[in-house]
Amino acid sequence: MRRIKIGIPRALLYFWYGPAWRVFFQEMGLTPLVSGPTGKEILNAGVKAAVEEVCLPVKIFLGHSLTMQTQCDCLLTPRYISVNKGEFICPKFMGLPEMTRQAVGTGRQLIWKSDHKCHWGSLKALPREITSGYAQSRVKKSLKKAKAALEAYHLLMQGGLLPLEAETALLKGSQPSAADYEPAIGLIGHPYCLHDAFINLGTVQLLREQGFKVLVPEMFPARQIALELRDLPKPLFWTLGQRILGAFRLMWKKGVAGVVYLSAFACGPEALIGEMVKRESKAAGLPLLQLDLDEHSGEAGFITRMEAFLDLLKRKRRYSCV
Amino acid sequence: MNRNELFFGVDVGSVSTNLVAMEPTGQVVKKVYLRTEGNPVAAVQKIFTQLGREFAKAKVLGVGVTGSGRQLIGAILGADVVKNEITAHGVAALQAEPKVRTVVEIGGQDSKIIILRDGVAVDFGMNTVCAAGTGSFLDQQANRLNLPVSELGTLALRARHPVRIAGRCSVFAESEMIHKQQMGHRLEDIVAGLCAALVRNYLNNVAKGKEIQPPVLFQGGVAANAGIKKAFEDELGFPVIVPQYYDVMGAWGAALIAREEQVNYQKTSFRGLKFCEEEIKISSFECPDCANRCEVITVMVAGAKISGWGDRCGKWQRINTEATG
Repeated sequence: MRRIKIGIPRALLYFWYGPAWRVFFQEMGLTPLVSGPTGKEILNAGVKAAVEEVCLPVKIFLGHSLTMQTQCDCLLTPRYISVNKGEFICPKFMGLPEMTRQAVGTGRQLIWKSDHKCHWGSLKALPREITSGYAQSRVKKSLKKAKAALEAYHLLMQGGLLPLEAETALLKGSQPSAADYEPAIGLIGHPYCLHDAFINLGTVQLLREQGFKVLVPEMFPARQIALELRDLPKPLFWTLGQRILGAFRLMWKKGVAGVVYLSAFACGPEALIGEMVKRESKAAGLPLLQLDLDEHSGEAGFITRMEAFLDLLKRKRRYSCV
Repeated sequence: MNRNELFFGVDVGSVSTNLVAMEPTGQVVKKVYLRTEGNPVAAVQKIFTQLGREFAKAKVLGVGVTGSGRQLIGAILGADVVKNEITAHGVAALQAEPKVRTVVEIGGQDSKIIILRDGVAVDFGMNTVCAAGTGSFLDQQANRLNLPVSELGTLALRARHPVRIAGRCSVFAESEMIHKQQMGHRLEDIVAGLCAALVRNYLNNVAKGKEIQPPVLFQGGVAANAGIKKAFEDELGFPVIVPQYYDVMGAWGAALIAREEQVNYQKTSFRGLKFCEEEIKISSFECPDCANRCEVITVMVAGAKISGWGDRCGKWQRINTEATG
């Protein structure tokens, strides 16, 4: 019997939940297919299909969906509205299945929900096609395995691995260890901006080549981040925004040389978080570089700023040592 | 003139290409400012042809290149150091005025601010994609008013009642200037208004949220404009300094960095003045090997491939290095 192929776009929340999705569908006896890393064709397809207002990462998601729809039987289009009580993911994630339908046309979609009434890990949140077509015991078992995989994945990242490295380690069973060296640099932003090497022109690699150890928000446990943000006069209700601000504060405490903030052009929540990060970095005297990512981000300007920022950090170190 | 040992610094900008010849002491012995006119390679060749006679006997210790065309020109020259223009401007400003705390740089296509404290750069800002409020806009307006751009400044200083012009967008600014002209305002008042608008635009965009403390160094081609300098002083409330080599600070910085990094490269890889006569061909192609579809640049000098870049995977860069050794 031919196994049903589930297409999973390597975009948006894939960088946070991807391994759990893969393991779940695998356990259900289906074949999860993950799209390749973003490239020019994916970007162009996404930009063409999307409405003008959405941010670049959503366009990228649509690009991934478009390029893989012919290779799979169903596309996974998560509708993750809320994953923690009282907090939300950006509203654009709410309309993701509809935006995908509009862009891709009439392919079959699996909508995996998560909102304030049903958490993504509950039976009710799963796509209807799954819950009605399979024995409940099997679904429950698969879900349990998926959650265990997610936990292991996040533990690996908290051990210092980047999402891609952690995913490879998890699924291939190898156990690479993260190198620990100085100086460290903080890289903050939404996971889909930081870990998509195409849209950020390989920032992580660039920073590593320049001799910096790169810290990202995924390396800090949610507990620590929550603890760090207790003193805010009003809780931030964007889950991803919390991670950015909390990780920023933790990075500062860890003594990073500086912080690079990659934000997506036209990202609403970031307009706010960015300002908070900017003010705190100024008060702390921590060098901060804020860069916007969009589909026509001039490579030259991006690299120039990045180089200048790294020079600034290096010169600062050199002269403060003397 | 025949100096014994020299460092060269080249700043390949969008509007001008500049060169500085510097003694090992840091002293500038020669500066050249030339319009790029859309052809950086030809501009650099022209500059070095001019210099060839003067410095034929000099020993070149190192070459630094900066500016938006730095990679291309760096490859052709065989530069020892290729640096971004922010670092270069900061280093030169520190050499000109060791106590500098703020650098305001307005060039042809971009403008930047560098904040320094205790001789170290701590923050910087740069204009975004839009070139409103930079030198090329002044150029355009001078052209429209049929004035040489060098005279805008002196004209602005003669203004008695500067008009208010919105400087947020150069397209709006232009229509507003035309409107004020048609209303019968005097030319010098309009030009002074333009200078003030440019400065306001700079302070609100590039310098937004940055603390501008004296001493302030004002550099870049636009610093030649006394009207802009005065508008800055009016707006900030303290004098700004235009350093002696304001128009070639980037090139000077590149030369200074070449000197600073000399320990790392020891002997210069400068290809010598012969490149002025060489035939330089630059071509690009879209690499079909993966989904990134990188636009790869290849530089050929006298029929031999010397460099290439633009590939994200590094494959072509590797092939090129292997080919050239």
